[in-house]
Amino acid sequence: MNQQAPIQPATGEVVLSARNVAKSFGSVHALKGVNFDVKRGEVTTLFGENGAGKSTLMKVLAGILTPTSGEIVLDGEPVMFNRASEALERGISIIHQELSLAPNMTVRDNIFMGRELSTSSGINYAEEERQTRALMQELEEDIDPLTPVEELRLGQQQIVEIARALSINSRILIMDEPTSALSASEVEVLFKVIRDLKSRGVSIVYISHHLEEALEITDHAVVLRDGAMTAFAPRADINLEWIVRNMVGDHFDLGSPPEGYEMGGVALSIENLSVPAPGGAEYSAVDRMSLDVRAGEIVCIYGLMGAGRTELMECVAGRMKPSGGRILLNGQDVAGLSIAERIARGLVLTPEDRQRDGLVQTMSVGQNLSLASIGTFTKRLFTSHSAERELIDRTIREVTIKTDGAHAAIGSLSGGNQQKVVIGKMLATQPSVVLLDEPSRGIDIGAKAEVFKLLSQGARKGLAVVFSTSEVSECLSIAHRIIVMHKGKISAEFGPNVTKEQIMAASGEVDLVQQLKETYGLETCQVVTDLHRDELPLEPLGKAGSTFLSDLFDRGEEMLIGVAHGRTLLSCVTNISPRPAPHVSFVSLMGGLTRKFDANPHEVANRLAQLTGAKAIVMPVPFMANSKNDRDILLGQKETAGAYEQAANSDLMLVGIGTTVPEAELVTSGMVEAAEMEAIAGAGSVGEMLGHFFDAKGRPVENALTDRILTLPLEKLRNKKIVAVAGGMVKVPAIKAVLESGLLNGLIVDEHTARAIVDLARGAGRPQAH
Amino acid sequence: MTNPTAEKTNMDAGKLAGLFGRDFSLGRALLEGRAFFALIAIIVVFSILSPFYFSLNNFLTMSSHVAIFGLLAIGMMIVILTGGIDLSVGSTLGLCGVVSGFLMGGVTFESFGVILYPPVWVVAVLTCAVGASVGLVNGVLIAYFKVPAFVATLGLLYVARGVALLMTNGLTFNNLAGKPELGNTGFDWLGFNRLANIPIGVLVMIAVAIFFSLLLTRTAFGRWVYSTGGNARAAELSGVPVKRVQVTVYVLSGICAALAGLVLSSQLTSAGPTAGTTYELTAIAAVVVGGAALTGGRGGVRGTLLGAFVIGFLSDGLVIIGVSSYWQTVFTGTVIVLAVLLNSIQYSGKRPKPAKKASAAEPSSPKKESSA
Repeated sequence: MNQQAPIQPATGEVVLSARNVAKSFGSVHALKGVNFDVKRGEVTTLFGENGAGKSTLMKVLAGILTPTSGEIVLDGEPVMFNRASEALERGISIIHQELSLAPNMTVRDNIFMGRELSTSSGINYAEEERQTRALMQELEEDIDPLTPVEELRLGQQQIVEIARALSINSRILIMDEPTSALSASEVEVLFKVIRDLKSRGVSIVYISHHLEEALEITDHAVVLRDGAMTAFAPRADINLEWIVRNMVGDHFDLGSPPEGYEMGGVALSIENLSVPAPGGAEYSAVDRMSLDVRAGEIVCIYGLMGAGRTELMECVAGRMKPSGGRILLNGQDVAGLSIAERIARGLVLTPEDRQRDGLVQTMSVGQNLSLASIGTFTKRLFTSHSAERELIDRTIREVTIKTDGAHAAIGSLSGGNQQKVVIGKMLATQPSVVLLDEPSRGIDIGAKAEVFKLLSQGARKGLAVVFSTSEVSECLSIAHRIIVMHKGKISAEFGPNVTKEQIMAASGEVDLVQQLKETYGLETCQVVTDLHRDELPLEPLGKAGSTFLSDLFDRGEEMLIGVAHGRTLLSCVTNISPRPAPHVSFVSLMGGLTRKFDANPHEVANRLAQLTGAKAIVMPVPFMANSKNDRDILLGQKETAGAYEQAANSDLMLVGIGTTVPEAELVTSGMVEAAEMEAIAGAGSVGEMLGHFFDAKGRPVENALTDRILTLPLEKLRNKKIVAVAGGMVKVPAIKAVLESGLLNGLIVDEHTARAIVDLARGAGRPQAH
Repeated sequence: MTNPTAEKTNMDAGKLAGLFGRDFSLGRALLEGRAFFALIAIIVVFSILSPFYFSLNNFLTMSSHVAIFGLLAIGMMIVILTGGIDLSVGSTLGLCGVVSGFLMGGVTFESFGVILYPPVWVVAVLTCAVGASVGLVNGVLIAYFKVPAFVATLGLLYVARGVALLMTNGLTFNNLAGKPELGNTGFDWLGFNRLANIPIGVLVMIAVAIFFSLLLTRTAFGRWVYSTGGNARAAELSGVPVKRVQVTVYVLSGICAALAGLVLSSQLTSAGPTAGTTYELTAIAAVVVGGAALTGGRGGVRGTLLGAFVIGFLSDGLVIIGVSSYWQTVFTGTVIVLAVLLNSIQYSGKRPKPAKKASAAEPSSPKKESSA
């Protein structure tokens, strides 16, 4: 996944450049002479703090704004766009942070919105659908053209937006913060698409606040500060520190946990709290969670999207109702209290989305600041202007909001200052516990540092602070304690001296690959994204399996590959493209003739041989003999014995993993009788590989069948390179059992299954740093 | 804007300040100016067209017409400030008129064999209670049962009208004068009497306007109304009892409609079940002409009153100069559309595109570009 496509069309040729581009809005100089090039098939990232001019520059490139001076050069000739559609015609598309899709319409209708393919008899839906399907195939995304966009996940919606841009032959794609709302795996998919686009010669201009992420994908970096370009360099010459240095100008520090004072008693106590997931889902967003926060303590909650941070905070603040557990504020249960009553008792929340939940856009800075504490300046019936004024001025001073005054419109403030208004509004109520949901979202590093400074000042005065974040670097700033949440539970708790890696490892999105490799001593492991959540994600697994095999073939080494049978393996084979690999030979690892003739177990080996022109050795025997004697006789036959010998010597074994449930493939294919399988399951086995059964702890289970199955004995499988391709939630116990056996050397698995396995493994021995 | 005009505005603003009380600044006058200028223009134009228009007496007569719409519009405005709408005010007005007529005619208690003739002030209070309860139903439906305001109040529009028709069997109460021996005279006081030569109806409107103005600008409740309309989610998280605010504004709107119903039946000395049909639309028009945003959070009493005067003076003026009622409708509609047009220009902050590219960069909008 991390490698670029091997073949690239001529890259490096400059397609678009900005020459001395400046843009002023009245007396405000948003851009002051920016020079950079966008090269063909490469990613150019714009870095900069809020207000540095990134968006303005992007809008200039996309023709939404006209530069005050300077010029845009496209394919060597200066161009002047007056509107976005002109830029679009020349192949420049922009994908805004807020997607511009109609959620109620289908993918197809969105892609062709505004340029429907019309015939004399109306819109040619069939052709539109065909083209949409082709686009999705190009992007390797299995999205049905007739799905309404609202049913897609955000990451997929982004893909639709990209597809739309491609459908009008965009050569330059401008993406504004495309990953800000995506999960880690969706980011992976997006990056894959971006790499793919690059290999097709599409140039990307990328904007992101997420520096590490952007560094992963970019080829060139343009850094802006205060509208001026401070640096422009290729990826090879830069690192994170370089970017930050150029962005902020000098060293930055998010601070350290405040020290030198005594913490008070427990201010906020969450006991066994459960919060149902919104939208009537069947699971709990917060699952029996307990947490104590002392006065003067700063607790950071780290977790990814969907970890339950927001639900936890909204429940504590009173917006969501808990389904169990209780919340104590300074020892008193707050159940049944309204948000207003909680605020009055000193429990406040600053929401994650300040535009949606934090600010009243129609009110001034001052009115926003005083909104939560109107009661304090109301005397009898009427509000006191002077008392309000005093409160506002004091808050503006204390929270250091940069504004023209209390009467300024809230929209005139920068993101960081708007955030300070939201925080200041809540601090003005003189709280004892403050919850901040992602206080640093969408604000620049300077403002972040100021917000954190504010919080640590508050803590010194005895405020209990709980803030959440999804950036690890922010955990390691002012927090005395770092709580990692995963799926509504606390998955780990750390002190301030933890490392980033430890935090990430506990957050669940770790690298599932890393986790599986470490837990089960795997040499190779691949976790594939499964976007459609099928019961059995055959297709993505098949694709991954075929890629794995193709890579092996391409190595050009002489190799004997043993293959088992099963649906999953077959789908690996059907996804492979023909390629000559005469140096490889294949061998069936086990017998597989069954009473049902429609299933051809040797298809895997045979097809592989066909596709590669290699030799295939098959075992022309059934999966299971009638008795041990029969088995020995069968194996004694010359041809079988040869194959058997070969199989034991294979350099790599590609296998599937089966379950022992009544619906197991072994039963449906007729290799094992239903009654026999029942007996096997009854003996405690949960998983099957190469005809061997294992219990939940990975121990082989001897049973009546053991001696009759025509397969390699267990001892011959030890220290072999065995790679399993398996997935699907039904197979979780089975896969885990086989993993526990320690026989596997590699695993290709889908994301959901992998996560379930890792969770199970963790449940057994949860890592606890404290 | 040239200097003389500005001074003139200032002067007029001073006059208005005398009319409407507190802090009337030049900036606000300019912001709300368009309704004000429209009103001036209407007065000037009709004064030229008709010799009868520009007289104190005519102004007072027109004002008493405006009072009905003004009362409805003030109630409507406070609902619109929270981002809602109240389509039921016209029907509530009709219903309340009928209720007052019914009460004036005496309430028969058959089981006791008596007929009760409540005094006028009791009638007024009970009528207002009816208006308030219509508003309460609206508010509860909207705030607690999440029925869209448009639908809930549309439903109440029909229900209230239907109840009014049922109560009267489609007929009109004509005998509202009361009898001295029953002690319930004086119902016509609201509609006919004058204090210091100002019709009582107008005084009621002014009193209500002052009350709402204070409520909105000087009390916590007023701030809650604006924040609920500006961003209900943010308001809720800041401790504003959003649901209670929503219920209250509909109740207030219902009471305003009841007052308007009382004034109207008093002016007509009759209470018909079809009174006030489509008045809700006129009220909305007045609010919009007065510069309030239908999305909530913006607007004020002063603007709304100006809006009501613009619409009232315009339609009365058209009657005076003898324009056909068909044309009156066209003119009124045009004024409303123009007002909304100006609203959207004001609130979007956008200006018409400069004709030439070169001027695109001129400092026409010193608004700071927000960047990512």
